[in-house]
Amino acid sequence: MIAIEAQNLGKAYKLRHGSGSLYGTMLDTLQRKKTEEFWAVRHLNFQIKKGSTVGIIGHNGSGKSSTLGLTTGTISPSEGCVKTNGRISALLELGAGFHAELTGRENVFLNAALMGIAREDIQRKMDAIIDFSGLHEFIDQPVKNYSSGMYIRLGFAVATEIDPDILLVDEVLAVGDIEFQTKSLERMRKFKDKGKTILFVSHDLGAIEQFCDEVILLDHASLIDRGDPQWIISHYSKTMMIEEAHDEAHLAERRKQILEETANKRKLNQTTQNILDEVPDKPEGLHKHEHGSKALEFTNVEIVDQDDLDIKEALDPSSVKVKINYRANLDLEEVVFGFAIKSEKGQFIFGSNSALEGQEFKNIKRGDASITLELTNALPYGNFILSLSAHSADHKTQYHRQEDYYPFNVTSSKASIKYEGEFYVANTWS
Amino acid sequence: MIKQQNIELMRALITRELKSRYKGSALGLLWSILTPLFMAVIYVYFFRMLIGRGVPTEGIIIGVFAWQFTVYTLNTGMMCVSGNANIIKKVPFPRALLPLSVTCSGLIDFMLSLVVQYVLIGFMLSLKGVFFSQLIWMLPFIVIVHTLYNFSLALFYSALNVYYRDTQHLVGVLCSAWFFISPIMYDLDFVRSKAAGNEWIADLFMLNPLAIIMTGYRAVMLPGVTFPWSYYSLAGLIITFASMIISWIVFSKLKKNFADYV
Repeated sequence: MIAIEAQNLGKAYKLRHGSGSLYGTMLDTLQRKKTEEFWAVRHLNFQIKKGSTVGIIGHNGSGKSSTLGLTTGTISPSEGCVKTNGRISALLELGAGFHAELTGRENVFLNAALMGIAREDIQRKMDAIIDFSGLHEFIDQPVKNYSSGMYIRLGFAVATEIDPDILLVDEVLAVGDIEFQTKSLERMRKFKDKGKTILFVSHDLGAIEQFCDEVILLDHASLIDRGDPQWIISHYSKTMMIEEAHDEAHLAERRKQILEETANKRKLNQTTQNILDEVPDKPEGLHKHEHGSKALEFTNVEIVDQDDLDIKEALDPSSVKVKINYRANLDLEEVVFGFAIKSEKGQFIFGSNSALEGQEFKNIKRGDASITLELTNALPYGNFILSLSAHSADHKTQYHRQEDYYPFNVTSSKASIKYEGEFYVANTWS
Repeated sequence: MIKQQNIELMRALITRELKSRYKGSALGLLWSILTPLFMAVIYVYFFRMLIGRGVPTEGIIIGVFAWQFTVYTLNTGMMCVSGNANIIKKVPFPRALLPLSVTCSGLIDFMLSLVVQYVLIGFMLSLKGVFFSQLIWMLPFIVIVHTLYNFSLALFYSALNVYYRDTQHLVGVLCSAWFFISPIMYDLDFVRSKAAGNEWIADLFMLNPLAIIMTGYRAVMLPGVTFPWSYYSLAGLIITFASMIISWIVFSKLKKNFADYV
């Protein structure tokens, strides 16, 4: 199920050159000055699945906060739309709605009311909120007497205690002491475990990397790249170190160029060989998704054994055959097919591609066709996941990539034996 | 249409408004009565010094109390969107609840002061040996029209002030002019007597919604005061309702970009 969906989302701000005063506006209108538009985000398309934790990174002014604002519904889109599914709670500037003269308790009620929570509900949760914020003796004091830490703790406690379906987090975990940071991360993790959707904006790349399943990279109002956190973050952080540009504008331009280059490179580099280098063992490293230009797309994939018996049925297969039906939507000069196999724990086992194996697939004509990948079986008894990809020979275009897409199992007559290791190496004793 | 959660939010916002207004002050809510009372005393006293006897004391009390309600919703209401930038930017909720909560908290104050006003005027009338007008049962209707009109002012100027900060300065100036051209410290009989021969001037006064409201209050409370029904007062009534509708339309149009400009 989709929790958040943005369709061609865009937000334009009018740049007012005058003072923004009545007089200035009248003057502008009389002189027929055109107001300039500035797009904070534009042509944004993304879907966020329910239960996933997605980070948004990008330089200052890349459109991160606008994206969150549009998702929350506080700012209205100039173009396109964003659909959300479930109750949203936004942790944007914690305690933003607090009124200095009111006590902590009164502010909790006010804040909850702003988020549309019934008074009885929040009354029931009051103790939990006070506990979490650790404000026992101060809860009935006006918040103007609070320290900034107390303020934030209370804000966080309210925002998370109301049990939203979608949690939007903007740069809030960087505040507070270590104890609070740990506590709040722990709470966010619980949210994650409960299958809640989290959208997380931060400059703290470390937090994003350890916390998010996926990262969206924004730059200059558009979505540059999306995918595995480690990958995107490592490339993104490289652009932080550019020094060659002299002025701000040039620097921004150069950054964008590099970001786009790396994004493209990433897409084409996602052949199996590179995954081997780039994605180390991660127990939670399984993440089913697909992308690509679809100039060529996989239409149907069957995994069978050497006798064309469904792999589910097969016992002790000597080889695993992957029968791939695909459709070329264009005439293509050359296509490289790639595959990767991971264990059920997300551990990378093996991957390769047709170019690496010295095979060429040239002059692919528009239309349906099929291809078979045959693997000599060296897998031990267990469950595995196959990824497939097709891209251009020059590595510029990813046609179709299905990451962690096809689960299959290998059944052995020695089923009771659980081998250690990733491969089964045939062995006999004499 | 009116959701449970919006009612809860209204309640929270009104509580915030009232609590924050009087927090830390020793007399608290009492100020909502004391302020117009002091002002009425001051106006009546200086008017007597200037004009001598024959000042419509009861009329001034009614006028000043009602003016306080309007000026409060106008001044506080005008700032209610731009002054709450933090929640406008962070939380999506029906924006109209902000001016509405200001109007409601003003109304609560006004109701309290209305009780005091009732006792005070009742006492003064009894000194003259008369009692309230028989139309006093219509008072709630005037209060409703007055409240709706104040709400429309809050809607209109709060929305405008988001886009043009000049509004708050302009309103300050307009307010003092409005105070004098509305029959607050005087009544329409006074205008008529001054504009002898030019009756139409007094008629023009009735195009002002506040004149309609003030005269309405006096007509339903004071014996011997009648509402001057004419084409002009009818037009004034239509202007009152039309301005409510216009304010609502303006607010609805402007509210969607509040977060961009606050």
